[in-house]
Amino acid sequence: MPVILQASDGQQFPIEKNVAERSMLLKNMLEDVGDAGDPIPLPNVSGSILKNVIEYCEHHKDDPHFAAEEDKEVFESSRKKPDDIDEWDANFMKAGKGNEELFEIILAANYLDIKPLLDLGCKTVANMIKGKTPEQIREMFNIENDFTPEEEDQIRRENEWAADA
Amino acid sequence: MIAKRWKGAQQYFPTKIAVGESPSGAPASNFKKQDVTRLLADELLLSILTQVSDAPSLAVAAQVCRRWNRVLDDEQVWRELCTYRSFAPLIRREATQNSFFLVSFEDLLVPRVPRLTVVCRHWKRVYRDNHITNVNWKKGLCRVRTVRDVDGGEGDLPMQFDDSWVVSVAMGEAGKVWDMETGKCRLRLSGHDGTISAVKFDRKWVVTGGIDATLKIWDAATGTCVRTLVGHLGEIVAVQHSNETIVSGSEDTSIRIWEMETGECQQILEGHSGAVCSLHFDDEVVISGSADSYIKIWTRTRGHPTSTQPQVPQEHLPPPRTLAGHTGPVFCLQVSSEYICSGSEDAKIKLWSRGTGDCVRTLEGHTAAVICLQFDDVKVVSGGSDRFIKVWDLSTGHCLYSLMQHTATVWNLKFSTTRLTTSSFDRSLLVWDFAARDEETVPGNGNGDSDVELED
Repeated sequence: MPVILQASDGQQFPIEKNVAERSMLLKNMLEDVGDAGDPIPLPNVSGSILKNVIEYCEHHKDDPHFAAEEDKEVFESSRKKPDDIDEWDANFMKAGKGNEELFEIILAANYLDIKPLLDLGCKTVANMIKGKTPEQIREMFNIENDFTPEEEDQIRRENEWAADA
Repeated sequence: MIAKRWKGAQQYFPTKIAVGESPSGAPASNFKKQDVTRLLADELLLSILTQVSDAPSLAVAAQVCRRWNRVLDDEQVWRELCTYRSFAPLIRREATQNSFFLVSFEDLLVPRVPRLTVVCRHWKRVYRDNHITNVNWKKGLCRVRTVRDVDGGEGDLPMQFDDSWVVSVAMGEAGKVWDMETGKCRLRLSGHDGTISAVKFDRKWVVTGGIDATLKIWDAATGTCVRTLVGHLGEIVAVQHSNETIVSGSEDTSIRIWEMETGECQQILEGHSGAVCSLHFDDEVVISGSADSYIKIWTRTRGHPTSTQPQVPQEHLPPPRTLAGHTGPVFCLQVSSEYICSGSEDAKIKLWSRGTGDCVRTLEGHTAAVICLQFDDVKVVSGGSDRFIKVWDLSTGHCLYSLMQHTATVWNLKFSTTRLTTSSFDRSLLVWDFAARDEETVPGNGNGDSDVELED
């Protein structure tokens, strides 16, 4: 029996239970309240983002689940290789996704508690940041430079050591 | 850090913004004007920035805006980075009232203190200190000072040393152990018939080999000679020891393995056709470099530590593996789990795979014999008869720079995270300090509080 997810805009997505269970939020919810067959409202996730998240979960539906403690270790070890992203995952993050969409997927993954997707999103953004100048990063994410010129100069000097490698 | 209980997930959404809609509800085309990172709570932003994981990029990220700067001022991020890079805190020692110098734990003999924990409050500074120190090593930025033996040992050769003790020898005289900090004599090693030709010591024992073909074990606390090992038929050229075992190499071309406790010779390794000049040993193997130009890897017999048969017949042992490639005596070698690094009279340094025995790299640059070397994960430091100290990039085999201060053959060297100590036939002992300098490391730090506390 499929699980029906309802996005913030009312769109409904019937999905298999094991796909839904990639989300620890949904897994716990289904365990706690059982599956009554009613649509599960997800007021924080729009239809277009939920569609992406479901695509990810469907591809990874047969991945092993990790227990909480193990998961921390796996997470810690994956963090050590930030560049090491699975090819399908890399393409998934690239395919026509703008920065807003990327951050929304991170938010959705955090809300739905899908750690591998959250991790993937963070890694992807981290790789975008690497090797850029502060100005390039600001442009990329439309961040306002709110330092005073004096502050900016001081922070630049404080961090000068790291540029020398 | 990232794992969130779903109950708490709501708090990461500022107000009631639904994902996929801009806060104002404006069409997506206007969304580009928005700072998209504002969607993320600090903790999620930190999760992303933690994944950046290389310090130069993080330092850049801290300059993006006030919020990023504040979020990155996080101990956990820098602590993890330090752990990942194996950066240990460098300790600030007061030099004068308002200046400090940095030393690594190994320089303070701290690793020898059991069950020591480090409480550190400034991991970003730890990272910065280590980073700058590593850059100094790469570029050869250092300050050099001469360490003197104040008790009239000006003409002695500093033959062997660690971070604070030096063993000096003079032709035909007793050896001397003196303190680098004070320059004062600690012990006199009087007993060899002629000059001491090889030394190895720790805080418990000093083991010396002489041109008289004997080895002597001295109590490092009192300077008393507790045992004399007789058996070699020529000058002792190399000696190594652990708590249980002494391994010696001699001009008689043999290697002898001795039991520290009893002084009995447990094994004789024969196979070289020249003097044995350099040695390494562990539980499994003895690795030797010889004047015959070869390096040999010998398998140690096991289960004989208390054997009543002092000499294990050599025919019962597998033959040693021979590494051929040098064209002159192998004067020095060091071994890691992965590599054997050797220096030779042929002026070359060779890096060998310990697993396959293949020579994986040859470092060329010295113009005369390579007398001493040490290497770690990133660099090789070598000293030669050409009076140069050279620092090499281990991964490329390129010479990064040469240090010229000694006026004769560089005899021995030791390096730690922050310091290089070298001795020479010019009779001098030099300490090269690569540590980050105070003004580089403590911008605007006026409170002078200690970064590191040591607890037993």
